Amino acid sequence: MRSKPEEIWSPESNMEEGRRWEDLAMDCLVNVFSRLNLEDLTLGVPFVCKSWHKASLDPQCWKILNFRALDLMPWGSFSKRFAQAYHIKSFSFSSFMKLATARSRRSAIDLSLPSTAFIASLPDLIYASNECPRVKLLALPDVLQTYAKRIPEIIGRWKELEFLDMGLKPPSFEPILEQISLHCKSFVGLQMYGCLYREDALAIVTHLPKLKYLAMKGSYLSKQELLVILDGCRELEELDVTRCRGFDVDDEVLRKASGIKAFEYKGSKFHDDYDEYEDVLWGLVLEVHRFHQS
Amino acid sequence: MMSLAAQKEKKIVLRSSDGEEFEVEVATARQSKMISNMINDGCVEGSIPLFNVDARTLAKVIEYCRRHAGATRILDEYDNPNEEIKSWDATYIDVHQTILYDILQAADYLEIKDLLDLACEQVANIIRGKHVEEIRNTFNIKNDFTVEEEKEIRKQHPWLFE
Repeated sequence: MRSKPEEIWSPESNMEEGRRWEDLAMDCLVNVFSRLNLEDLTLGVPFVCKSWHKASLDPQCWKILNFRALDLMPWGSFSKRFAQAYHIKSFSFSSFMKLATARSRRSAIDLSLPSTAFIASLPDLIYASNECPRVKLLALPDVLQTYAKRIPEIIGRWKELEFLDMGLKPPSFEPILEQISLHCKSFVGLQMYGCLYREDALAIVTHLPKLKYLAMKGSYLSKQELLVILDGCRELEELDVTRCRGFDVDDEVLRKASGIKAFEYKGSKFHDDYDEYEDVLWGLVLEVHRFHQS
Repeated sequence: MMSLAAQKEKKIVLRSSDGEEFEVEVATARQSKMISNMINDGCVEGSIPLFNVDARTLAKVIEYCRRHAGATRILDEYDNPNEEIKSWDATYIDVHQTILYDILQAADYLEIKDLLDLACEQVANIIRGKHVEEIRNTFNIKNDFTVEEEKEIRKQHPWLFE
């Protein structure tokens, strides 16, 4: 290997010698690539060299499909780079999702869809439920009123679902929870925000009494609703109600939450100045908007 | 089963591919699944020759195993040692790419899963956000695709052209 004697002493050549990143064992390359996001997996590594391309096709690299981490707006940087790299006229989220799900060969366990319904709509959701049946962690796009009734049945198809991030509380909240209780036997965690009324709190405790993790950051709910949840979900290990409005955390709340390992309520209070609760206000605006739609 | 203290007393010798010998505690050596299996099978006599690991790499790998063999015990005594180990790992793996390559290969060969994952995560960190040309330059990789083959890759995605 060391043809010229001076090479033995040259640190530079010593560094290069025999270390070919393209010849790394396939399972090592797969281990590395499984840590990359969808941008690197579609625009970076497959075009580097043949062996890297081959490794990038392994379904293990595509178990986490986090579309939310990308800027998928048609005018966004990712969409432009993607269209350029694959020589296509315009970027379509549906096609891109089909590419990623095909690569995962039904082994995806973590699926985060873009949050805006403008990008990910009903057909995408149906497609994902068919192609990614093993999903344990799901983040839904915001649900539009027009197809809200279809959502519960679709969610119920994910039999192995453990965590669901709903984003803004969808119109078909209670039926979704009902389907989860019927079909998703390992379900433990729910995340959402919005206005929680009495019927919503009751829906949580009726259908998901064994919930372990519940996050409702930036929501509006009264103390009464909070107590319904604390009384009904006795197995909660983590409850996040930071930056909520509608209740003060008093002795009674603290007493009832004493069994919860992580009870986060920083910034939550009964009410305060308008300019300080933009998040809640935003939730309220959308809620009212929806109310008028329905 | 030996107690941990007894395991620490007992030492074995690892010999690198370039002939250097390292005396290490059994608990340290057992961080490697391959060596651990050899010890269990009773086929460790004298020194263990490691044909694929040179002295520089082996010294570095032993440094990791020694720290982590200790960490397993600290875990039982203290509340939160994880952050301490994490920051130690981050400093440890912040090395030149050549050494990173050697550590990765050695961890794969010796079956030290945590070290392999640490090295792979570091490689992933280097790749993240880079364009194809930047990746090739960083890792000194030659483009071995023909123009036709590159076209073929793009065609493998029929969904994009619907």
